[in-house]
Amino acid sequence: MNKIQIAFLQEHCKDLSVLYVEDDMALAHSTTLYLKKFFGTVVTCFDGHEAFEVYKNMSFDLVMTDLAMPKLDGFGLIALIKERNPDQIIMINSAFNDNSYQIKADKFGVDGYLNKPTNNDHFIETLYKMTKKIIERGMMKQ
Amino acid sequence: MRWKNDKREKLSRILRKEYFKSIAYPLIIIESTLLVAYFWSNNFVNNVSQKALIDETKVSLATISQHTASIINKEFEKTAVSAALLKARHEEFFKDFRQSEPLSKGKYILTADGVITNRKTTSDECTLFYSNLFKDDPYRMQKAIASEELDPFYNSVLKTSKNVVQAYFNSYDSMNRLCPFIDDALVQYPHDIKIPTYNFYYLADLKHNPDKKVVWTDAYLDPAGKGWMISAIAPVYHNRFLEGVVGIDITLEKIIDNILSVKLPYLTYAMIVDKEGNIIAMNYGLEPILGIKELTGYNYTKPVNETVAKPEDFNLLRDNHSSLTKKISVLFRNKSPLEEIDDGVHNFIVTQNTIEQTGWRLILLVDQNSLLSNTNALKEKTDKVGYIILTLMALFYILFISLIIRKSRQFAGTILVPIRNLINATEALSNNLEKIKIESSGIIEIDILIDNFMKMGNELSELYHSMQNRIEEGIAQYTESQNILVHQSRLAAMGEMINMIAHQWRQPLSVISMMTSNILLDIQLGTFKEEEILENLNEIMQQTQELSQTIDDFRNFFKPDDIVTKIAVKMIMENVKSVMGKSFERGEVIFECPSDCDIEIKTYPRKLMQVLINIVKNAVDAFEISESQIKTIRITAKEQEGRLILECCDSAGGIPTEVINRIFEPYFSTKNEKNGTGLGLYISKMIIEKHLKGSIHVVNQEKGACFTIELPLNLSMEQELPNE
Repeated sequence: MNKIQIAFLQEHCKDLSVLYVEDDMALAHSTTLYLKKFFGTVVTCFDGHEAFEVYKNMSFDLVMTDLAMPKLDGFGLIALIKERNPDQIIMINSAFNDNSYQIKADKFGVDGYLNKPTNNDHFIETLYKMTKKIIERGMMKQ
Repeated sequence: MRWKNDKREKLSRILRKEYFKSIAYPLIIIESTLLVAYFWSNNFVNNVSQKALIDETKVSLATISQHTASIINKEFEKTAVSAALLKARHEEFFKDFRQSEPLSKGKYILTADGVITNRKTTSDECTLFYSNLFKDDPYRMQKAIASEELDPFYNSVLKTSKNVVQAYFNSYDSMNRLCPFIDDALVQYPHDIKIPTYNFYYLADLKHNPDKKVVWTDAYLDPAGKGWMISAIAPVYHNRFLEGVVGIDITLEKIIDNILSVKLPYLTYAMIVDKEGNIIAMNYGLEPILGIKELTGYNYTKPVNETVAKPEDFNLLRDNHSSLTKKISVLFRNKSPLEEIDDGVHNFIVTQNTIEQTGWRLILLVDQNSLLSNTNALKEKTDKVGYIILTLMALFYILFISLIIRKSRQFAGTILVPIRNLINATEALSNNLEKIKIESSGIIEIDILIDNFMKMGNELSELYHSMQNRIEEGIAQYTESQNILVHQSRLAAMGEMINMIAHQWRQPLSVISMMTSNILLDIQLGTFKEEEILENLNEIMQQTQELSQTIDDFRNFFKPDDIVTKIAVKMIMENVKSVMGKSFERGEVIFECPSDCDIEIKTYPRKLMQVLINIVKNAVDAFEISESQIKTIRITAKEQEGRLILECCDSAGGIPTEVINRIFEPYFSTKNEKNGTGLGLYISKMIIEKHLKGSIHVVNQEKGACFTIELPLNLSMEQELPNE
């Protein structure tokens, strides 16, 4: 199962772009390395504000964001992005593991919720789901 | 029970007072009234009798004065009659006298300077002194010898009255025949004496005495050496020729001795004053009173050449006298028969009578003090009796009052002893709340009081004991609830700790997890690179160190803290920051010290940290619901008067005013869901006040809440309460 998903990601993500937002440098560095193993383009930002500035000038297939951040937090960023592009595929990677956050995320139309610390299998599974959604949406547009 | 500054009185005092009021006071009042009556009546009787005495004396004195005046008048009259007789005899003598051959000279001597005198041959011999003024007259000796036949008359005149000192005849040619005999006539008389120049001669001449009757001289100094005297003189005419003047002398000494010595039972003074106010004679005793020295004696250092009158001092009408004398002079002028004169020292009754013969006044002065001396002595005696009665009465009262005091004490005792027992019992009750037993007093009312009190006391005692049990139960319950509270707060602290650890661990755990995922993915992808793996493993190692550090931080924080330690405030702040910093995302804890950042404090450091963390945690929580964009918590430390002042101010908008006064109450919380035990600040306050001996306050400032903690810089071990 895992191997199939990895293969799928290897096959389809080479042309996809990711906007990754995380305020912790060490984690950001490590996670960026991980994402680059699949995605052709990975742009890493360290706060919501910076991320939105980047997002205004570029389009991304996937936005992956932390929730607790200085200046502009995760939900703030999500709201701005959704306002600009309601179809944007977004996933959250947060240490807030309460149900209340997942419910809030659903209300914001967030597509995936990945808990911290991140389990490798869950990461691959979530990325697989996101990628599938991206491809499905791309096919619908065509 | 005790009352301070009380105007109330002790019962024993009241009883004693009442005793006095009912027994002693009336007696004292009656007795003192009697005493007053006694003294008053004494005084009254004395005054009345004195007044009567004075009045009586006045009457009798008037009579006495009148009588004395008449005696003196008689005396003068008698002398005047004698003088008249003498005058008649002399006129007869001169009628018979014929100038003829001189008789045998015998005892008569003619001195070298022409004075004729005689020697004393018989006991009733009279002196003859013939001035040498007419020494050429051949009939002198004859006249001198012839006049000897007049001697028996002089002698008989001398015998008529003891007041008469001299009887004599002076001729116009200065022959003097005088009885009794003067031994040293040659020395006494000036040899050229001109007798008509003397007052006792010229006052009788035609010019001064046209009626040719007997006249009286003023007081003058006797040339014959008998001192101050007055004379009744009468002219002797022969065919209208003034042959000479006869005279009878009365010396003042004699008048004073014989006439003025009025014998009365009280001190009386007398004086004779002539028409012009000259004092002719007065008692010796009167001199110092009037301030005038009487001239009774005269020091004959030389012969008296002329009339020597009394000095002007002796005139009452002169104005240089004492006030008493002035008053007498007024009396003299007014001719008032009786008056009282008082000059402040002497108090006299004064009478005044005229001696008809001479027109002189007899003035008698009676000393009222001596008059009243008897009645005064009587008054003193009765007063003395009064004082003795007073003393005896005082003694009696002292005995009586001491008896009353004893009695009143006994009486008070019968009431007071049971009351005192009651008081002691009430004190015992108020001290111990033990059941009480008081003996019966024997007084119905007090017994009722005692019974009621004993009932009440016993009920109170029972109530007290039951209350005590309840209070003990209450205290036990309270202690238990306190323990529960402390336990809860500890649980809450642990819960928060777990939360914080969870929060702080999540990030490094995420990193570790991500590293591992990277390695796993590399293996799965077959893109396995040794360098990359080493890098990841190192990173993982570092992250685990961090995890361990976090655990250490928290474990330090929750270690029991029972020694007072000296620690830099900076260190405490570092610890607070390291514990709190990571959980305070998107915000900043700033520690600053305006003057000295190396302040050291002796305290329980972890307890202080617990409080600071609690406050910082509250601020961090407050930021979650606040709208403020700048999230800072600023802690400032400064030293002030031996105390450390820590201010912890946030910018989270402050505490709502309706709850700011309740935030230190237990179980008070505004946070409904998580972390809201409502114990944090209550426990913080307890730690600051009970354990760290400081104080904590909160106010809202412009940007947010501001907590101020004040702590002693040197906390000593003993000050701390035993740990819970």
